Amino acid sequence: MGFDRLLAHDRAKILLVNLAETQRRKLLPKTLRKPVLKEIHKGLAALGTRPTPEEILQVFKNVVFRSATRLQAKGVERPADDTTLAAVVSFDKVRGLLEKVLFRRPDLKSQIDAIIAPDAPDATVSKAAGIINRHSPRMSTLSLSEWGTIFWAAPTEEIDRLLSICAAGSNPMQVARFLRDSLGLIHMKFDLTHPDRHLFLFRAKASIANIVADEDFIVTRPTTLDGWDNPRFCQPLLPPAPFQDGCGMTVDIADYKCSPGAAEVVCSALPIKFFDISYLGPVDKSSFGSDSDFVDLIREGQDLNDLVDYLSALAA
Amino acid sequence: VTTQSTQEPKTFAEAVATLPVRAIRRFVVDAVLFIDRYSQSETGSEERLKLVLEMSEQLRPIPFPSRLEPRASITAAWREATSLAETKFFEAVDALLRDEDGHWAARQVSALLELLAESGVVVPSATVFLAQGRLKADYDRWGNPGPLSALMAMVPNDATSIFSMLDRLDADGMLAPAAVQAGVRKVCKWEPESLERSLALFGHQLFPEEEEPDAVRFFLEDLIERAGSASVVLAITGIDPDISPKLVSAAFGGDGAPFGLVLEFDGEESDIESDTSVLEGTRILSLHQLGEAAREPEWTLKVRLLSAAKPLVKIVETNPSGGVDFDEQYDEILEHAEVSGTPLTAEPSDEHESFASQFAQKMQLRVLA
Repeated sequence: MGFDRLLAHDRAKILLVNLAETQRRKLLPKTLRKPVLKEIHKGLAALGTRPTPEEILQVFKNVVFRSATRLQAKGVERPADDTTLAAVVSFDKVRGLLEKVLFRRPDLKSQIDAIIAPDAPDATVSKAAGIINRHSPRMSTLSLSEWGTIFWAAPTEEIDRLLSICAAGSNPMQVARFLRDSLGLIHMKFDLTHPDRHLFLFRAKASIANIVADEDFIVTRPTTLDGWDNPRFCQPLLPPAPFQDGCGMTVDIADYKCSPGAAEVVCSALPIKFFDISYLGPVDKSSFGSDSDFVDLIREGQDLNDLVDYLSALAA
Repeated sequence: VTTQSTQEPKTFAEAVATLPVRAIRRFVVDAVLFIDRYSQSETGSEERLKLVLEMSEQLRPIPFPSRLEPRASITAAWREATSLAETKFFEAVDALLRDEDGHWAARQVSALLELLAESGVVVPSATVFLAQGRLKADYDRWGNPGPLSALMAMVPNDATSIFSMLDRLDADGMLAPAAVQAGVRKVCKWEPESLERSLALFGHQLFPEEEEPDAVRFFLEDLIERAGSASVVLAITGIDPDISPKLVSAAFGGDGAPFGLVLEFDGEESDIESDTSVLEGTRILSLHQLGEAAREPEWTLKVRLLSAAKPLVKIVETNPSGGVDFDEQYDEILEHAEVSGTPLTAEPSDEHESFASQFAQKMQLRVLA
């Protein structure tokens, strides 16, 4: 079974397991822990004694969107101040940035049109990085996160570790796929003829401490409230995860694996001027392998109703 | 115990396959209006979050994962829908564009076209013509070329359809460079053998007067990536240089040009025009070595004169940094093209032979001219 086709039952269960772990480990600040739990409990209680998985998912969505949590990095653990961050993003975000550049620089229309053309060659798409790098310093409001207020990243040294693993003899497509899989980016399941399959690497030019000195910037270990809509998001660390202080851990989505991927964090939106952008390559495989191991892991846990009851007790 | 759901959630494509055209049209309208409102809202604002929530309920079963831009979610769903229920989806788009009472602002029509273009779908020509009709009033009033490249991206992937659309735009006074460039790019990708014809027909409006050389070079490199060097060089040498001096100049003139015109002389230096003294002692040169003159459209005249005076004129690709590595390139010349008819000194592959043969034919015509 591919993880993108998970049943609502499994997704609901993952959410509840994650939420239980978030509460158990006290990963949210005190001011948020109780209110969020109460809100979720209230939503679940309103569903009656036998909530459907779809209804549970909807409760989460409503809480995340409507409550005080919204889409902000909320965790209490954070990586060291001297950490630098990097994010792997797909062309759908880069396209938006190019359009913003075009708004200010209409003379770049023919170049940007060529890059965003649906049948643009790889070499043309790769030039997006140069254009954004040239213009980003003057675009202080341009953010890596367009619709929410957070983005997901990893320590730069973690990205470099991954790149070093696949460096020898790898072509750009293999590198892109390896990063996609290692970072557990299940939303990057693209049509292989579509421009969104192209991945870019955004490397922060400054450490967290330096950015914080300049911006109202938050970076934390991800919690359920950040990863609520990613059915692969796993709050409990999978053994034997090499734990990095203040970071969460992705789950590798490569074929037939159910293993820790890479350290990851979630951050508040950050202007593009803080990043150096480079082109990684196009993902050459649209699917990821069976996630049966992971599903089994979840299914072997508590029953869905037990989890609901457990959370109700915590909220009481 | 909660009953486990046994049914996979329906995808948008599955929904499209079962819904009537009217309902699909409603889906498309909602998506476009949403994207229009979304693009008008502020990044990370309360309004934007509410819009996404609203849309994820209204457009269910399209998923809107928070790590993907909403428009990417929509275009992915549309792309999937066209692969499963193409006819119905296009009927819905067609009906939408025919509806003059929809009171859609041009901005919203543009948003529809951009979403369709980003979906990577090509729609029937009749539907593209409808879309063009909806854009005309706005273009006449504001001269906004923005959506024209999206319009061209939706045209079927064959030269006849592309030329037909460009002709129509021309007839309606809408043949903006953005449309021509999109059309030529598309020809280059899908039917490179028609590239020369596309340049001959529409090349005169390929670039605006004020277009920067860098932008022209960018366009040229994109063509080369799409169709390969041989197709592009053949097409450019095949057209009258006056059609698009900017393109010809970007191809052959100046530092960093992707092609260098390489001349080989086996005659006396006195045969060469006096102002080409730069050739002195040189057997092979790239055009940019002719100096500033090579940056001007007149360079083609010089080349013609040189071609007539001397037997060998060859074109090779320059290296990416723009210069010509003569030692390396010379071997390539021998492999690539022999214009004078002198037997090649290296064994050409079939591919090279074909290139050499076509190229020689073109250059002979030029020399005779």
